[in-house]
Amino acid sequence: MANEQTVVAVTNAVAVILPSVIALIKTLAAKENPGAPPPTDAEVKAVLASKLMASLAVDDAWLAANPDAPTT
Amino acid sequence: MTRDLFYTRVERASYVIILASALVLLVVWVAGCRPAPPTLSPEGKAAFHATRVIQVLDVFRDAAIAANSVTPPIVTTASTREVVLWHKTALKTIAAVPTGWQATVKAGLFELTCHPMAAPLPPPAPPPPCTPRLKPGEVEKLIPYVGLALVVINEVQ
Repeated sequence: MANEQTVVAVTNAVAVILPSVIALIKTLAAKENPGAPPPTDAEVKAVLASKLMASLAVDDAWLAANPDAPTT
Repeated sequence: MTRDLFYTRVERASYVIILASALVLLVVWVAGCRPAPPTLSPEGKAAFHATRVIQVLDVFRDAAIAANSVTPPIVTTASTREVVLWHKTALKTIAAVPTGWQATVKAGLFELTCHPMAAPLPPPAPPPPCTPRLKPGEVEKLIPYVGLALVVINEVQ
């Protein structure tokens, strides 16, 4: 019983850490190329708009998948 | 005895989570605090910084969702919903006011978590009385992500 609970606890720990590790890898992979020209205003604003849309889509998807959750 | 062993292992797992999170947050913080390219206009720099902030807000939101998705949930669905709704409001604020969203986003984060760095008057002033919308035990699990978000928000102010 204790072993099963430990396995659940460790699984939970891995499940929580994994998204952070993925975010870390994405951050490192997104590092700019030092030789690349600096981004223009239009490019930076396009990236912002894209990030906003993608992030809001995740919010909406989670809220749609959990419609009955209490709000308090 | 077995119960003690179980809780000892859970405690160790918690330490692993905290240490791994601290490492990840450090790297994301370094990436998030990079200066904007000097060739950008003020509006371009605001968009550059806003993009970095959205990345760390996403990490906070994603951590809450991940903690809610495990069995048994580490963060309740109600609290996760609070985080997601706050995140959505924060992003809409950033989109609507690209150069003046910081105070609003921090105020929302303070209501959500009562983190002292998000208080209207930052330390050393004493934070005002606050009851977090998230449950106290859940706030503690998400506090490293909240701290990261606040550090990056303060850096781009």
